[in-house]
This record gives sequence, structure tokens and C-alpha cells, in this order.
Amino acid sequence: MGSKVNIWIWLFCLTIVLGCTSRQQIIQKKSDYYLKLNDVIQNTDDQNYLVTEFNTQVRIFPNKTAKKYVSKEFVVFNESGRAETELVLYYDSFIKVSRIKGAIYSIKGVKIKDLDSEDIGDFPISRSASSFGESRVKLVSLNHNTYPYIIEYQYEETSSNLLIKTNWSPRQNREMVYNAGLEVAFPENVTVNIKDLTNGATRSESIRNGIVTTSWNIRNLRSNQADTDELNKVIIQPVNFKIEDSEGSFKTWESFGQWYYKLNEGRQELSPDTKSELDDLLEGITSNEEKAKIIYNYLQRNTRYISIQLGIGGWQTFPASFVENKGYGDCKALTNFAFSMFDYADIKAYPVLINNGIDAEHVVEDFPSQQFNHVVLFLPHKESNIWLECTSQILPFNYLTLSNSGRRGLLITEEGGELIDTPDYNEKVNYSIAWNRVTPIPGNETKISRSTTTDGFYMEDYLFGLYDKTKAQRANWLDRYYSLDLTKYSEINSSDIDNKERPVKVFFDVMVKDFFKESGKRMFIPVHQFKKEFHESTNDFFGYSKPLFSFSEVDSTYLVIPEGYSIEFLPSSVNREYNFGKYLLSVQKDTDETQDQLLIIREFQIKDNVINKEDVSNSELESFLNFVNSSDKQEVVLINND
Amino acid sequence: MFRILFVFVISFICSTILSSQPKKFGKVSKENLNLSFSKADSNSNAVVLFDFAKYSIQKEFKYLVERHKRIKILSSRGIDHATYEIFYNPTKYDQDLEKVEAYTFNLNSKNKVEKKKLDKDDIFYEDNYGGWKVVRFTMPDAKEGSIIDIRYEIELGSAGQLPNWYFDSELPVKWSELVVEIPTFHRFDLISRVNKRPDIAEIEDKMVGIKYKYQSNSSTSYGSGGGQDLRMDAPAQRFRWVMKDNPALLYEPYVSSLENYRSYIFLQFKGVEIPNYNIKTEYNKSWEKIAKDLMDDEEYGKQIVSERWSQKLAEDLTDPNSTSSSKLKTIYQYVNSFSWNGSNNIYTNKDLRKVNEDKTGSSAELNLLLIKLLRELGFIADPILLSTRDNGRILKNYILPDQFNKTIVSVILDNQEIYLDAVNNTKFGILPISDLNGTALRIGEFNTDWVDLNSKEFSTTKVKIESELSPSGDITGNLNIDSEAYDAVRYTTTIQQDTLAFFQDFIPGHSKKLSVQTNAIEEGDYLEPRLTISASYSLNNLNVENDSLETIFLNPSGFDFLNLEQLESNKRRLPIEFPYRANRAIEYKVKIPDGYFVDEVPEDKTIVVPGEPFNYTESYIVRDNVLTIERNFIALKTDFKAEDHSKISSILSAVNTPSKTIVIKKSGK
Repeated sequence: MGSKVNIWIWLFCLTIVLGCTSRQQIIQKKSDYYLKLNDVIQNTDDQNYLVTEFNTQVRIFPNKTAKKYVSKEFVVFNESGRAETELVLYYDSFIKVSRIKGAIYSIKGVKIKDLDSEDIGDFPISRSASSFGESRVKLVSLNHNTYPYIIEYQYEETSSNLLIKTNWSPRQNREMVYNAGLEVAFPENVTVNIKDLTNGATRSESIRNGIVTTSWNIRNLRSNQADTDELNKVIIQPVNFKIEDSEGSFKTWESFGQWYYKLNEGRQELSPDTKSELDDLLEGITSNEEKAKIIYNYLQRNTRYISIQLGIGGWQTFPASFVENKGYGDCKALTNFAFSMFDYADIKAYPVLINNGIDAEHVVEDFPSQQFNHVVLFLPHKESNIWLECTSQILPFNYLTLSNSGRRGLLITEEGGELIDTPDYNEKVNYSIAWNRVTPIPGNETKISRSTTTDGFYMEDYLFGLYDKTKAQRANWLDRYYSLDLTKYSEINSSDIDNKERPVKVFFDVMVKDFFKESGKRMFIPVHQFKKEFHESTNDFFGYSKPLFSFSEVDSTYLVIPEGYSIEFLPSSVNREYNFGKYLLSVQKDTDETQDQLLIIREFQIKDNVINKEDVSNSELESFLNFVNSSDKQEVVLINND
Repeated sequence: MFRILFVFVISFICSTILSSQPKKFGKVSKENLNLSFSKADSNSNAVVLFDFAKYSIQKEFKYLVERHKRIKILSSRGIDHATYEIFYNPTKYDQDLEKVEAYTFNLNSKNKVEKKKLDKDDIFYEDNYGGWKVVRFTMPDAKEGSIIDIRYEIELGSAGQLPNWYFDSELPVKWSELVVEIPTFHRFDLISRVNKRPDIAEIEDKMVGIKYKYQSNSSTSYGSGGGQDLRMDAPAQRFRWVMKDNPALLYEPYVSSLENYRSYIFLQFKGVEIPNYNIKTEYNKSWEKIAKDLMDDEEYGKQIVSERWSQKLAEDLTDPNSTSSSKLKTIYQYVNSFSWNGSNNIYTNKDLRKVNEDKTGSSAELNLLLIKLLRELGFIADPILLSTRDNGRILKNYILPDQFNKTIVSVILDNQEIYLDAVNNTKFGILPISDLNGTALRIGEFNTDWVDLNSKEFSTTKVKIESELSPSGDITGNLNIDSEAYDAVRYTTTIQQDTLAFFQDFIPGHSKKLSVQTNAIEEGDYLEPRLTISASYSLNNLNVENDSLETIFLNPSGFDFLNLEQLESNKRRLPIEFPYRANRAIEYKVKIPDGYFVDEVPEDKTIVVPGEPFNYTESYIVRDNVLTIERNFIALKTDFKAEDHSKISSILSAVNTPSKTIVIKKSGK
């Protein structure tokens, strides 16, 4: 899809008027402006910088182009603030950045320096081995060394691609903003959809000389206000857009889907070679699901993901023949190639546009616009629908990953677009069920056998950690994943992964060092070592204090008591259950076996309603997670009787 | 074991037998595609089968680099090696890229070799900073098992641009070959450092013909198109080196830079000498000459010559009545407050006056500005040229300034020499660890000499904890941390980032909840980094609701705060290099509640590296119902051979092991 960077398509207004006055602004306002500014500074809450003024003007033209004019003034308080107030401006063949101006002033308003060409760097966006494209970035950096100081920027952006909506937020990254304004202007005969999601902004509208002007103003945004950029913004989308020679409309999701369908129509022709290969592969197969599996497997074996974003290629797929010929493509091209094969096999399949990412913004449903960065394939199927991520060589059939699941997507059919849900992977999918056998050997070594069955989120870790690796590489990964110190590995079986089975069963049998602590006649053995990284030690879920999805873990561990040792201390069993989660730990002497052993059962579950429901108390959740972390750190103490 | 031989290949015995180039571009057999690899190689995701370059002189005395590289992709994890980048610089170095060609070879389902050509339209050209162009492409049909064959040519603007040749890489290289054809009038020094003797090393005398346009002084006035096409036949030498089966060179902890352990050939251009025409130019004769040239260079030494603006600035910044020490601090802090643009280079790009206006610059610009201002105030301040740790160590035998990538400052304060680096994001003036890379060149006003940039200071941390245990298992106590040098620098940053996490490293809570109250923090002078912290804390049991436990498990403080990387115990290829010397100690005291006793006192422990001041001790004493635990880690030596790794590994592992759990029981049980 389009450039991954959320580019604001900004548009212009009143360039001349503002362009002239702004440079003078600070000087003219001098005395009372600075007195006031000083008051504002006194009230900052431990900030690296403060945005004093942030003004944006957008003008949309009848020829389906737009301009944006931005001016921003900061007070910078320290070195970190200096780095955070650098301007990063993206551009490509549709978006041009021009008239970049800037200056630094002392806190008393004395100009120190104007921006010059040496302060602007121009770089291709850093790319990986699998990413190619034309987008570049201008990095504007003005520096000073006496804090605080004032910095002011202005720039203009011209866009000939109204397919990308304009997101205006009064602030980024919860910065403190004193005054932010937006003004959108367009001729009466141009239809522009505007979604106002601002919180506490004043809004005014006027029509003069056939120009509709809408303005927002918002003041005193403090850093401790909890609203995110997602919740405090204006989205602007001209209904009719044109990209290169292709015209479309955002009147409804349906009309946008129609455009997308048309843009990509006629790019599905397969070569005779591919057709005959498919004929061979599908011969005698009657079930559509079986056929789909074979085709998906063919796709995975013969292609790989390479992102190529050039011009309209950000939206229009490469033809199926491109992927056939090169063996690679971006998400659109690979999905289109898969679509073409399903089409050839007479299996109904539809592309679904989605916003990929584990914490991606939700689709604003009543605002048809380009809110997507990825595409997957949907196959309606009588018992259960099939969803395919076409860019991965690793994923099992009909698994989308947590980055694609549980969200609204735009289904593209011949008739147009329609919002549908991708499958929701809740705790019934995100699970790990494990049987462990832990045999401590006095003198620091422990034999560990672990057999896990995982799906969903847990499975993803194993897939990316173990797929197509040598035994030594797999051992190395396990070592790091579970913070073990592997000394020997007699077996690591992950054939399910290579066979693309789901759920995935992984078995390993290893010797590790330093698993337990030995102190004189005692052995201290952790009750639970196999914690998944995302909830280890702190309540940190990828930098979020709340879990982003629900999950369920069950670990049953036989802990063999070495000969000559007896139990000195067992952690007490606990069982806590809330509407949002559950934790159980039970440590029992196991009587069924001839060998002395303990059976440790641990269950940890975060239920689905923690994610969406309002009735979960944050403090209760936090104290629950703290309790889990602390309980997991408990140890069994064995003592040598000799 | 990793041995390094310095081989000056110029002295190799002449050999007239030249084996032919073993790989033909664009030709790959079924056998090649079916090749299997040793266990060590197959743990890499791709293998370089063949890496070849030929450097030869062309018309107009330019040089041509012909490159041919063949890569086998062993697993889907190695697919990134199907993407290739070529850098060249037409603007700055008059370089040109020609003839980019590449193929992917696969075995198809019928076990036949299939060949796919890289399409010219799939080559991307990007403009990068400083006139560099990057050509990027990814190969069609690349997958597990594919062989990628790539060939291209780069024309170089001059003889001084011949690239260094590396025989090894992060992938195993099965065959690495460099052929160089140099006319004898171009004087080169060939410097090689290899981990083993080359498998082939040959020299052959030959003649080369060079076409060039002769422009006599008189002909220039006749306008364009003047000049005569001439051809020169010159005696030349053809060198060929091959190294086979080079293992992948991979990161290991405590290695200053992998650059120091790669096998390479450097071609150092010395000048032109054509006796019959009486032409002789010579570059880089000696380090003294290099230093003199640098100091005469507009983009280096000329920048620090006194000027009115800098004189005035230095005077404005400082109080004339203040001490030298205070003036130095003011000037250092002034330049240190500028922001570094991320660039390490020998030469400056901007006038220092502009640097001062912009308050930003490269490391050379900022440090030369510091020197300039210090000199304006009468300080003896000189540049020191160094190579940062990640850039590899300086080879003194290789007289070329390109080895250096940074300038720092030597300044005399009260008859003592101090090293300063204006690029320093800590509040202390101690050199950043990245600067501590051994040999560096000090360019004084009257003499040039080598200095040793290794840390002289000990990084020390002394932790003292006095605590009291309650029958419920809760603990209250006082913590004192006294740290110096790099330890102090590190804690100054980490304590600000997350205070509780900082203290958790000193007072492990395990399943208990930690609360800390900081009582005092003192920082040393900017030239003598020191951080002392005193705090009181409590650890509360969350899982226990009993006020009088039968058994209490106590987890005393350990060396968690050092966050040391472990060494693998069973293998080590490269030497072990710690960045600085260190001395760390913990004294942990806990008073046992009345009516309780320590059930078992763990055994003391001592590990030493024989004959070296690198050791670890751990002791446990109970006296008057007070348990005292002492742990000491002393590392007064920084560089060790790979052979020493097992002892060092066991010390690092002991340092990283948490303190033994102490079992405390109620009396009478």
C-alpha cells in the first residue's frame, strides 16, 4: 500500500499573508508576547520543549491537488528538546516540500540565526534488504546551546495525490502545546469530508467568495492529558481524488472499493507454465480447502516479499506475470498473484485492505478514506472462512498473525468495497499448553524436557524463532528465548513448523546450566522458568502497560526430586480469578509415581474483555499483574538430608 | 586460537605460474548447486562461494575495479543476501559504475539448472549524502538453494582510490581472490594482515599499454578538442592473492572491533615516479609529513589559526581573573553544549566560525573549535588523531591518514596533560569509551608523537548495605554507592532514566516489593567522574501474611548492576578485550531478628586468572547475629588471549550469579 509513513497531505492557504507576517511576528509582538511566553514557560510540567504556536492551513483545489502551509514555534528547554524538535519532512513523486524557513531566537526574542541550506539534510528513507522505493526525507535541524531558546519553522507541501487523507493532530507524542490551529479552505463546488475528532477545540466556519473555510483552535494542551493522537484529531479527505490518470471517489466505501478494483483489474493473467503447474498440482483434488492449501503452499515456495513503492505502484499491483517472472512482490503483488491462482482454480477469493500492526489505529468506519497499509486475501468457505497472509513463507495456512487479526478491513469485490472483520484471535487462539519434566542434578546441571502445543501469538514466536534453522541455530534461539544456558541438546523437534501445521507442537530435550541455585545443602528451583518475554518482570506489553490481546498459558511441570533430597519449602498454592484474568499456581507432591517428584501447575490467562471493555479497573489489573510476576518468581526449596 | 600474521606481500617470491580464474561469470553447473557444506558453514544462512576483484590501470591513468561475487543461499533465512548494494561517488571522486550484471541459478523440479537474468529495470539508483550514489537491486527467483552471480565494474578517478580488499566477511568465504595490475611508475605499498598464509600469492612482470591525451601548453590556446592521442607502454606488475575457506567472522563479546581481526590487503598509494620523464611526486612519506600536511590544510590545521572572532569569543566566554582550570572548564562546556551531527571524519566541512554560529558540527569541527578557543586563551592545546574502537586499531606501518576517523584534544592544565573530547553526551569530561582504542597521533606545534589512549582510571563501584530483617521477612536498610570513572558516568545516566529500576539492580527484590528513598546524591568534578548515592529502602513481602515466619529465605544483593555480558564457556575465537580496568565490591550486612538464626552459611569462593590481577572472591560471615557478605571483582588487566577465556568466563559467570539464598530459621526448631 502507500508509503508506510503516515504522511500528512497538507494543503495550503494564505501562503502569502502568513509567509510575510510570520517572520516578523515575534519581533513585532515583542514586549507583551514575551511576558506572556514567560508565564507559559513557568507553567510547563518538566518538559524538554513546549510548542507555543502550531498553525496549519490547508487548501484543496478543484484540480485535485492540495497545499499545506505549516508554521510551528517551540521553546526548547534542553538538549533532548533540541533533538525532538528537528523537522522530518517526507516527500516523493506526489508530494513536494518547499519554502522551508526557520530561525532561532533567544528567549527574549532576539534573532540568533536564520535557517540556511546547510541545516537541511536530504536522504533516501533508510531501507532494508527487502524494501525499495522513491520516498525521501528532508531533515531540518537548527541548533543552539543556550537554553531555553525559541525556534520557529515554516514550510509548504504540495500534493498531487489526494488519495492520502490528511490527519491533523494538535500535537504529537503528548507534547505540551500552548496554541494550535487548523484552517481548511476549499471552493464550494469541491466536496471534502471532514471528521472532527478533536477534544475541546473551538470551531468556526464561513463561506466567502465561494470558498468554504473551517477553522479549529485549541489551547493549553498539557502533557499529562491522557488523550492520544488517535483521539484528538481532524481527518480531511476530499471526496474526489486523482492519482496519475486514475480518478476515484471516497463518497462511500463501496465507491472507493470500486476504484481499487478497477485500478487493479486486468492484472491477473497467469502464464501457460504456471497454469500447467497448477493443473498438475490440483489434479484429482476436489475439496476447495485442499486446493487452497496447495495453492498457498505453491505461493510460499515460489515467492518472497519485497516492498517496491514507486508512483502509483503504491496502490496499483504489479501484474501476476511480474511475480511469476521475478519470484517476488510487495503485499499487493503477492496477494494479486495468489488471487489470480485461486481465480484460475475457480475458487472465490477477495483482497481485503487492512491497517497492519499490533497496535494499529482503528478504522474510522463512518469516514471512507485510505486508512490501510496492507492487504490480505479472504476466501469465503462454507464451514469456516479462510484468511491468507500472502507475504510470508513461514506462516501456516489460514493464519493471519496478531498484526492482521481482530480489526475492520475493506473487502474488495467487483461491486466495490465493504467493511468486514478479520478473525479475532482471542485467548482461545493465543494459547500455550506445555508439559515439562525438570530433573535437577546436584552440581549445577538440569535436564529439561518440554513439550508445548501453541497457537496464535505463542506460535508466532516459535515460527519466527525456529523455522528453517539448523539444530545449533534452534538451540541458540531457545537459549535466548527462555534465558536458559544450554549445554547440550539431544533433541529439538519442531517439524510441525517446517510442515506448516497448526497448532504447532514443539518438543525439546536439553541440558542446562544454572537453572537452579545451589547453596550448601539446599537447592532453590524456580516454579516457572518458561515465561514469555512480553510479560516478564515488569508489566510491559510492547511498551504498553495493558495487554493488547487476550491469551492463555497452562504449564504442568514434573519436578524430579534428586535422590537424598527432601522438600523443605513449597510455595503456597494460589488461585485468583477476576473478570479480566485468572492465575493459578499449585505445587503438590506427586504420589502416583515411584520417583519422588512434584507436580507444579501454573495457569495464567488474560481474558478477552480486558482489551475492549471499560469495566476493567486499571489498578486492579496492575496489581494482578504485579502479583503474577511476584508469584512466578517463587522457588521450591529442597534440602539434602545427608 | 586466533593468530595474526603480518605479511608484507611485496616481499613474496616471484612466481610466473598464474592459475586461471576458476569461476566463469554466468556459468553454474548442477554440481555447484548441489554442493554441500561443512557443519560450521551450514550454520550460516548463506556462503560466499567466490569473491573476485581485479584492479587494473586504464586509459587516462584511471583504474578499473572488476568485481565478481557468487553467493549460495543455504536457507530462507539467508534470502537478504539476494539483495545487493554498490556504492560509488561520481561527484567527489570521479567514479563511474559500469556493466552491472547478475544471474540467479536454481535447480528446477526436473533437476535442470535454470538461469534468470537481473532485469536492468529492476536496478534502483539512489542519491545519498556527500555525492554518493547507491545502486540497489534484489535478485529474481532467489530462494533457498539459489546461487547468485553478480558482476560489475567501477572506474576510479585516480590511483589513490583503490579499495581495500577483505578476504573474510560475516559469511564464510570459500574462495577470495584479488588481482592487481600496477604500472611501476605508480608507487604503492602493499600491506596485508592475514589470519593464515594466502593459498596463492604470485607476482608477474608484464607490460601495460595506457592511452592518454597529451595536452601541451601551446595547444590549449587553440580551443577545445586539442591534444594528441598517445599511448604509453609501461612495465608493470601483476599480483594475485587467493585465500580459500575463510570462516565467517562473527561478533563475540568483549571485542573492540571485528575490523582488527579481518584478513585484508591495503594498497597504499605512495606517488608517481617516471625516471625518464623526471616526474616524481610522493605522498605520505612519514607520519611527520602527514601531520605537517594536515596542519597546513585549509580543512584541518588552518582552521585553528587565531582569528579575531575566536579571540573575542574566548575572551567573552571567560573571566580574565579566573583560574586556568575554570577557564578550561568554561570553554570545554561551551563547545560540549553544541550538538554533534553524527559525523566522524578527519577533515572539516565547514568553517569553524560557521560551526560556532550553527552550534553543531562533526567531531573534527567541534574538537578543532575547542583547540582554537583554548589556544586563544594561551593554553597548550593540540589535536590528537585517533581511530574509534569500532573503526579498528591504527597500524603505524601503514602511513595513511585515512585510518583515522576522529580528532580529540590534548590540553595542558597545570603542567598536566588532559585529553578531552567535545563530543561527549555525559556531564563528565572523561573520554568516551569509543575513543579508547590504543595508539593515537598527537600533533604538537613542534613535534608529532604517538600517545596511548587507554583508560588510566579504574572504574570502581563500592556498594555498602546495612539492613535489618523482620520476622515477617520484610527488610529495611541503608544503601551507599560510591562509584568512579566509567561506572560513575554510567550510573549518572541510568539513575535519571528510571530511578526504581536503577535501585532494583542494587537491591534485588525477587518476589518482594522495593521502595526507595534517596537521601543524597553527589557528583564529582567534570574531570574526575564520581557519583556517590545514599538511600534508605524497604523490601516488603507480597505473598506472605504471617508476622512470624518459621523459615525466611533471604536474597542478598549481587552484582546485577554491572549488567556484564557473559562469555561462552566452551569456545572463543578472538582475544578478549575489556574497555577499561575495574574494581567492584559489595559489602552486604543484615541483622537477623532475635529468636532466629542463619541455618547454613554458604561456602566462600575464590576464582583467579593465574598470574593476572583478574579475580573474584565471595565470603560469608555471621557474627553477633549479623550476616556479612562480601563480594569483590577486580579486573586490573584489560587484554587477554583467547586461550584465557575459560577462567575469565568462569569469573564473569560467578560475578553474574546472584548471591546465594540465605535460609533463616526460628530458634528452637
